[in-house]
Amino acid sequence: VSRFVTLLLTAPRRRVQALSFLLMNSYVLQGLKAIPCPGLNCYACPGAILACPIGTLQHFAILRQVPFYTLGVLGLIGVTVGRMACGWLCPFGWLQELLYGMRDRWHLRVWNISESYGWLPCFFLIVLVGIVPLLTLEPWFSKLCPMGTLEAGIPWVVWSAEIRAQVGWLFVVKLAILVAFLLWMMRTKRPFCRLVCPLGAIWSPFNAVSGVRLSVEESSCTQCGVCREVCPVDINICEDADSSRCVRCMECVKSCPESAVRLLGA
Amino acid sequence: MSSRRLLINRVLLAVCMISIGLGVVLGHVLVTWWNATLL
Repeated sequence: VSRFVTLLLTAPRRRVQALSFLLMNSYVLQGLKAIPCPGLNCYACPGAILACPIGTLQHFAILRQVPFYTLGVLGLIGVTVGRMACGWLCPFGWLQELLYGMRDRWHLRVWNISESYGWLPCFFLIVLVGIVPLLTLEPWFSKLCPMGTLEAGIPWVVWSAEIRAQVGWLFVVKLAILVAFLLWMMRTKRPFCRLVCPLGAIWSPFNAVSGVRLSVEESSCTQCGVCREVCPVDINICEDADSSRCVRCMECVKSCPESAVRLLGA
Repeated sequence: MSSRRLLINRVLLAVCMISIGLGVVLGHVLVTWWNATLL
């Protein structure tokens, strides 16, 4: 617990992430559910005040309508800051970083993910968020989403006897997916963001043209590897400053001993 | 930022703003139609 608290309080980014989670689930600021949430935060969470953009996209796929407003808002975020919302605002990204921070204390071996699986989020976006809801008229990504289980499924099952009575095989599957990811998060840097998150897949292409970008001064870079060590998505920013996986957390900017990584604004 | 990237950025920005406007207008039209016809 103390490690969690230390992690929460040491870096300002952690405070922003914590504040973002609290604001997104503040309950008192009701009436904002027409606004897409800049991160993966379940709409059905009892305290949620914003709409889950992935849930909205599935809803529109089921209705066979074009989600102009949601795509516009997501695009606006992407074109302005790229995937920065993943690094600073997404509550699920925050949870993954906190759990990964516990690995040293529990002496867990790190599991790396091959970069060759980078296409998976796009696959989940097209198949589970687009095609499957379109064909089955059910939002299957939301039904299986581990963040939904954590923020909405479990609280509602605990809270309401009526919902508890409806628990079936699907809830067991959801729970198994959540537990698997929680265990994985303790050994791997942001596994959900890197292999599943369809929201990240939407923002990824914007990284190369977004207003906020990173740049690496090659003449100063000594290839020391510190940037990759501190990177929450395990990328080598020196090789590709416009990497579609970069969540613009700025850890590499803060940690580079040669100040070779810099933040650029349009 | 190179001029090509800046151009793409600005074009995408415009497309997103149009998309948001279209969404708001269409949403308003649909809600008005829904209220007038079905409720």
